[in-house]
Amino acid sequence: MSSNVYFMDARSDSADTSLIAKTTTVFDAAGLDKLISPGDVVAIKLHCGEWNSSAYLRPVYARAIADRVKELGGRPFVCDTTTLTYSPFSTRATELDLLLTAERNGYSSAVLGCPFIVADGYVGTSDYRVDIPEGYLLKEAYVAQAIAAADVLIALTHFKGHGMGVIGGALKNLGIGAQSKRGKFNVHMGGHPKYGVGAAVKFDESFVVDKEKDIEWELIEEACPIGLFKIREDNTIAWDRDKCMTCLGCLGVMNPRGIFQPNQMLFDATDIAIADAALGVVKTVPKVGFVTLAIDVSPKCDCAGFSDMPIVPNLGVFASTDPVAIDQACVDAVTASPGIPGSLSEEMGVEAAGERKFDLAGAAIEGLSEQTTINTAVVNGLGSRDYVLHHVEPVGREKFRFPFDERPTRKRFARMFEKFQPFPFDRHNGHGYNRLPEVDIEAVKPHDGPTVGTHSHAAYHGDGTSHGPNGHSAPENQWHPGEEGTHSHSTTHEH
Amino acid sequence: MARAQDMLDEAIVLLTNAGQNKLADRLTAQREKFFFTSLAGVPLANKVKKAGSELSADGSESNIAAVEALVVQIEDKADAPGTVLT
Repeated sequence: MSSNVYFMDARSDSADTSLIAKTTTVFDAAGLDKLISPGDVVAIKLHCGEWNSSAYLRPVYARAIADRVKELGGRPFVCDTTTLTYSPFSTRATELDLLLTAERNGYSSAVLGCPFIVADGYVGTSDYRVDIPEGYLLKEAYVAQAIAAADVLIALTHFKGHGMGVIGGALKNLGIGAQSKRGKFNVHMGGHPKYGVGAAVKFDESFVVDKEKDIEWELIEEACPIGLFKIREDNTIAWDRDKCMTCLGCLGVMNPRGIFQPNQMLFDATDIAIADAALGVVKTVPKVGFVTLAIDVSPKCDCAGFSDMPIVPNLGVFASTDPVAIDQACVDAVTASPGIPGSLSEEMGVEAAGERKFDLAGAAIEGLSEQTTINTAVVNGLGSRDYVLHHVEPVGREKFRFPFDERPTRKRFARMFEKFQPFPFDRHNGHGYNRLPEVDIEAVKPHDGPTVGTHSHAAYHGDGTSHGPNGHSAPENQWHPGEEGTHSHSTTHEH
Repeated sequence: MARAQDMLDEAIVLLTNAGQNKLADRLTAQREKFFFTSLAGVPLANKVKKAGSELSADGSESNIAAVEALVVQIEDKADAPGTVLT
């Protein structure tokens, strides 16, 4: 059976076609407004971005959803969850760090109009365990407490690529993002006898830590939060791999040095588990809706401490009650789109419209599939890959007026301007400002530079010197405003 | 064999044939690292392959410098801690 996905593209020429307006328009079109009853506590789950990432969703999208929830009588909060330890320099692994990162990225109650919550607590152990016998690989999931306790969950997702998940969509927003840290260990195959890091990666036991050459050698010994690495007296590395919980704290240290060779099974199994854990969330929260913005589609996730150029142009905003259908719709839209010249989609040779983009431009290793999580979510019954895409029309500008003062201009400003007139009518015969009556407008329009000379007082370098023609100090006989009108001779400028 | 390693191998052959054995050796030293066994190294591997091709056609100082600049970038990135996977 097909699911319904509602869509508005990324073009805009009016208030009601702004992406912010479109976000709430598709929210209503998909019937997500009907999910919210007066008094409902509504968790708006998003990714607040890692420190120094820049493609994550601007907070205003969450604000718009939160405002809409409040209009409907709900009590919204916006949330994210603590991450695994992710390499040596993660920035969201505890509530303290996550809040610092979130605020730097603009996520605070002042901006959102509602609280910003770390949904799984200080260390990430606040959660709710749910059985998922339908799961393809996982049979239980650990849903972040604040999300599990909510009456409604709105997954507000930034669609992008991901090194391990291949795509970062709605399913991953639930299957990783809505899991507690304990739940993330589960999804990343922590302790799994076949797929976990401890079982799956190839470990080079002969690797010698050269403390003279590798100034970061201490990162190796201290890469594990439970101390499973030891540098022996002969400078080889001992690893108590049977106890590895797959926190991924070491991968960023071990992979680049070749101490680990990651096994593709770990990645594939995690992508499968994401779908099962997402099912656990949907089974836990009574009502769940999905809004996904396919904009700033960076090849790597917002959990990276950087954001590469988007691989495709901004596509638009989607909404649905089916996380599988909405992810498939986003993947299809990215596939159909041409890649952006100069982006990773071009460097990977998948820039043509119709090419699958994320298998190469999103994944960290070759052989992963952007369909693995989606297909698993079909198998576990979470949703459908088949969908009907409804193109939603704008609902009119009236709804998106500035809400705090909707009076017409004179009523808003007349009394204020009587007291504090900002226009200086008393100067220059009522014209207000010192300006020339006329200039040669055409002279400054040529694409190869102006056809009038540089002003003798121009222009001011930071060091206080004037550049004048050809980068030298201006000669005495240059033109001054009001002295002799405009000049029309041409000057060659070197840039 | 990984996509990035393929490209890197082509670059290494080009550099060796052009008599740039030291540069080729520096690339060979990076070959087995995750950067090149994963997809992360594809863009730089491709760039050094192209630069190696230009160098094999014209062994000018500027072309040697272009390859060396890429080798330095590769050495820096291939060893950088903090590869994000998730």
